[in-house]
Amino acid sequence: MNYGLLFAFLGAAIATFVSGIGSARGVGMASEAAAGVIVDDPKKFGRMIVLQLLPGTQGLYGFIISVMVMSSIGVLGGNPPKDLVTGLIYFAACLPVAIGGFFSAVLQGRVCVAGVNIVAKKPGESSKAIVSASLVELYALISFILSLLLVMNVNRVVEML
Amino acid sequence: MKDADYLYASAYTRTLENRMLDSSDIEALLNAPSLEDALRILSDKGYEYSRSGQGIDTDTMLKEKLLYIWKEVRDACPKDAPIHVLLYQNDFHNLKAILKAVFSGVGYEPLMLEPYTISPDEIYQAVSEGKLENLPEIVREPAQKAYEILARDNDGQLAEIVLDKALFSLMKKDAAASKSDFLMDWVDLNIAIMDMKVALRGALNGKSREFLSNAMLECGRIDADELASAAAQGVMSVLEVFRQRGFSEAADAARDSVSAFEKWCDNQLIKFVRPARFKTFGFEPVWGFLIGKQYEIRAVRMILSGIQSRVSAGALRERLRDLYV
Repeated sequence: MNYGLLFAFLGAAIATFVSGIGSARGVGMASEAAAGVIVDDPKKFGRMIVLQLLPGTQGLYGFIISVMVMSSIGVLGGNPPKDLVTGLIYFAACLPVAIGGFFSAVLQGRVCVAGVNIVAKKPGESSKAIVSASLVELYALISFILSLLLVMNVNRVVEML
Repeated sequence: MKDADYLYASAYTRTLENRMLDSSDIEALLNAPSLEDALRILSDKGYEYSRSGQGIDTDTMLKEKLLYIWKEVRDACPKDAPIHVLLYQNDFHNLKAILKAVFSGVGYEPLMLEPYTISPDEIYQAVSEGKLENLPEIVREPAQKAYEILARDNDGQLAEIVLDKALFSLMKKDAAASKSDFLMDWVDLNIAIMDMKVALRGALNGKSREFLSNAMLECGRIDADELASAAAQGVMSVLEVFRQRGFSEAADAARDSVSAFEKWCDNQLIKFVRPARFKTFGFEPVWGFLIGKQYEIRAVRMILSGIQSRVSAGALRERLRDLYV
């Protein structure tokens, strides 16, 4: 059995799965709160949609990393890892976007809920709510970029080892 | 209770808060030259009124507004939301009014408060037929006790105390079951205020320590035993306990008049829930809104009836309680 390939697969799976759970929770929370505002004033939908969508980006980042891993390990292209160590490096490369994505999505969801409440009271201040939520996005982006760099440099890491 | 259980309800109540009356609206109402002008101000804030043959029925308008708010909030909350705890006050008020009405042979309907968890008709039927065992469990025992007191001694005050104590015990039990620290603290404040009111009234009426002690409930804010002992010694001792326990404002208000003290008590409850306006998660925003709306409707009722009976704006202003927004 190719354990390297197994771990690389696992990495690709958790990158989307774990960050996706976080995004689903974040988007769910923000959307639930937004529904409470839209039911009273449907005109606020446009201002709400950005706040609802923001926690969803982490799932997308995770998916990109999963596709990149699959494109490198022989599923969508590239060659299967030759040994366990290469598979483990792929697995490790997926962790930042999975874990960082999960927590940042849930916490961003909470900021977006607070943002929804700001828009409910003061619709003109929606940009401040979006900027606040975007601050959390920075850490999702850092996790994504780290995973991206690691996946792109797996072969170099293997050589160094 | 999870803090994310009320996301929809708290966002919805936040939008409803936008149409709540603030101090400038109240000032405009107070200065309204006529009822028509006052109603015009209110209609901008979602108070819809209709004209009938006898003029404008403001009581019905306010009652319908309160029922509408309750329905909206109840629909927006999860099914297990402990908002019914607030309705127990109306149930017990209705029970008290029906007991008194039955014993004095007058009508009870105009005194009923809505919404409620127990239908007043159900209470009336049980009380008028003397079949108190037919009442729902939450009021059965206190209703039986109060009924006996009224039948035996015709002591309305004691019957009221029995019912008040039962009400707050019930609220305390349900608040503890909800596991909401906020709700438990709110009930604790209510109990402290009830104890303080009982102590002051008891001291004014020369009640015994034993009577007062039985009428009070233990709470975290003030020692009921200490209050009962002080009340048995007189009003000044009660005020001294208020001061020693950090309720100097209550003592000052009570020194002014009983109505000033009652106003202080009501203001404490709204002051307690007001920080909920800045909370996003949890049950607090919903609870705060419900209490706030009740206060608002009470203030509007007072102002409208004041305008109709030509009470001066200054006199009304003095009677008004603080508002939520």
